[in-house]
Amino acid sequence: MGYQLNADALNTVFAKWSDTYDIYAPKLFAGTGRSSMQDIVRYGKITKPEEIVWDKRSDYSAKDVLLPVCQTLFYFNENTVTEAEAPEKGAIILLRSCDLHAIKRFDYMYLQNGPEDYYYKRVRDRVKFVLMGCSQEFDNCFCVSMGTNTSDNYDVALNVKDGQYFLDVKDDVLGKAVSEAKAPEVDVVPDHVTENKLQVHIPENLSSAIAKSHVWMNTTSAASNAAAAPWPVRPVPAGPCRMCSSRKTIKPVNAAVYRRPVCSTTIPWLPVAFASARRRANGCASKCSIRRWNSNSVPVSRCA
Amino acid sequence: MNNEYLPFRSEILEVIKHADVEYTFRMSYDRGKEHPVKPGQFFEISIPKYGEAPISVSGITDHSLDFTIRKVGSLTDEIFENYVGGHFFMRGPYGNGFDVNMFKGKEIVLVTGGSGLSPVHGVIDYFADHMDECKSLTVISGFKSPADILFKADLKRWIDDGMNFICTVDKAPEEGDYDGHVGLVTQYIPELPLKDFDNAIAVVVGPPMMIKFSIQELIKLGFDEEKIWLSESRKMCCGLGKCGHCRIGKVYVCQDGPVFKYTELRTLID
Repeated sequence: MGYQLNADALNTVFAKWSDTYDIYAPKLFAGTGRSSMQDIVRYGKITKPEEIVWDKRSDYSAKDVLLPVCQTLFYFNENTVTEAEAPEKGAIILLRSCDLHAIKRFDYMYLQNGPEDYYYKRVRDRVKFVLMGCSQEFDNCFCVSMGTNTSDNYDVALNVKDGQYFLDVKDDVLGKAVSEAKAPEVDVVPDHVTENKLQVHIPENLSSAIAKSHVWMNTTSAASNAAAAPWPVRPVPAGPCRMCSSRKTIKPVNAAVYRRPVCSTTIPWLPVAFASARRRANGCASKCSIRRWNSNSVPVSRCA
Repeated sequence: MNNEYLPFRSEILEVIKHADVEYTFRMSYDRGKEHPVKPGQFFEISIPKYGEAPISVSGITDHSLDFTIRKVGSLTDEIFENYVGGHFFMRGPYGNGFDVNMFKGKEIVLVTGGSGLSPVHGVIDYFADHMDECKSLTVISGFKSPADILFKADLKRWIDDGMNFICTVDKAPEEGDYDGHVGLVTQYIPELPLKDFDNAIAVVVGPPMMIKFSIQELIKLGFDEEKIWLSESRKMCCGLGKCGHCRIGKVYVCQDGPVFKYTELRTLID
């Protein structure tokens, strides 16, 4: 069922949802970007609709909510080991259609590939998804080609237009707070883009043999060159490594802001500028798959 | 909901010193009925604050498990600080391991290098006690030097049980009373006294370079590629197929391995 709400009414709805859920959405973190004075948009806990960033794509995906980069798994005493307790509240995640499609991949990996991941499952069972309508595409989006521009497995869809919020509610639990706002009922279809500037064509009968194609040799070389470049290289987020890494921000002496790897085993944060040291850092990063370089070409690898 | 990550506490029952950097820790294990362990499987052994590492089982009894560990890093350094009466945290068993039924009635050849002997120790132990269940058992085991030889106490017992055990070292010291075999394991493969290659099976475990040349020699000798098995514990981390560290293509070494057929493992290139 669809509703039209103004900002005050949606604030009230969010307040009611917050009683039983933590609400996560793309949020602006000013000055905490990869370099100093750089902002970043990533998922964080919000209390008001105004905190949601609509006009930029999040730099990090919504998986940070389901699979926190740093998470306490156990408490060890001398002779015993006990599980850390689950979050008290469930979670409402505001995300875009492409992100919602990506959740299917996480579900497959953590719920079906081998035994269920205990920590993923206990959070996933208590998650509600609010689909953020995309009224326009962002740079380099190719969701239409992938068929991920629309989703229908949401609990609530949320469009915003001229300061008014339009909700399509499928979930009864979340819908109760919306219906109590006594907002006018309207037909709501989640906003979605129907055409991208960037189109990607997937060849028919694509087999896994492509993984061994020579084109990836060039990619390796390009990545090596990028590592040597004196300009920022955009990181490629891959599989998370919850077991051994965490995200902390520190300010080293040269005032640039880095994300410091917190490692349980080998290579810690390596602020070194020589190629040989970079290779050593890559050895560490190869386990964790996330590596990044700051604007001064200092390699910072996360995790060991 | 069962938490697969939750480790259990295990007491150290005995510490057997093989070499300066290689000890066997005999650990208590009372979950054998619910979670039976096969040779070649591994456990994640952990010490709080130091981390967790996959370690192959090298011996299995009703109430204990042996882990032969080489001191090579921060976690294993700390493991070596523990003695009888201490404890570790463990979780497992993980991986497919060796099925001893696969070897029954066959001419068995095991080629190992260094601590590669420990994953197949359980297989050797089983057939040492049940020599009538296989046609023959030949083990070629290579070590760097006489001081690095593992399971010295077991070697004598195995040979007494009728096993053809060739223990060789890369280099014998100029001084000392070592009078055993000297040379690489590949040197002894052509001399294997096999009668029927259709009914033979080989297992190779050790460093990659040793595996490569041992397989070449086995094939040259007449082994069918389908009958060569390997154990390769490559980059395993979580043991549950979740973290992706050990993934090669579609294969998760910790879940689908670490025991593979040679014909399967040779396609796994990353």
